[in-house]
Amino acid sequence: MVVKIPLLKAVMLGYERDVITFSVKYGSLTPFHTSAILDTGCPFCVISESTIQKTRINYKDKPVHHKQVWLGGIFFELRSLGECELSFRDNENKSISFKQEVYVGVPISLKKGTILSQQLPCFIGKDFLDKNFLSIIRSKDGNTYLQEID
Amino acid sequence: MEKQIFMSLESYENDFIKFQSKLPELRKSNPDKFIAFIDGNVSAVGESIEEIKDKLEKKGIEPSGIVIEFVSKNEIRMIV
Repeated sequence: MVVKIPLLKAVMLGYERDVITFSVKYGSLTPFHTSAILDTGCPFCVISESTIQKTRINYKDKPVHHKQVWLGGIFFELRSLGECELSFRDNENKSISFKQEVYVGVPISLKKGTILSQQLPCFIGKDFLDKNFLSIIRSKDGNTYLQEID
Repeated sequence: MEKQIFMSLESYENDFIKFQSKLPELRKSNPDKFIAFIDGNVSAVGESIEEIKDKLEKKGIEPSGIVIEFVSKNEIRMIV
């Protein structure tokens, strides 16, 4: 059966984007929910610091895998959460899950609490799409999907 | 358990869509604040995520399954 996950259109960082909602299971903790921009230009799956702060995950002691990642004029460090389970709602309203390396994007060039650092979104990156053979498909009816391609 | 989480995700997505549609009015009513958005309504307002978490936990609500967003007074535009 072909994987087909509906995407949302949502305004994030000032423009309409392809957005997806999903849950993230880290270790034995209860999964948390989030939304993310689907960004083929982003190499990694990144959870924003403001999103991870909703949870009890102690991300500050996680290893820094990428220092000084530049995004939209802001320097980040990416801290590795390791492999998490990401669960989505497919077009038949069933749950579908994938194992995925996930990073937390921690701004390092902005003071904590500044407005921009609080608005940074999560990203589902190219690594996830490549690993699972998923592409963004725009159908003529106006709907957009993340779909498995042979 | 898995079914509960799935239903909770569906509820999260519905709230995320409603949050998006109400964002222009939320910018006026709650500028530069964090808000928790549940069942189409603002459930908590605060200066920080920690403040929102405290308020939700006092209501017996687990924050990790809730739409919690920062609502800036002015929209920031970024090409990523």
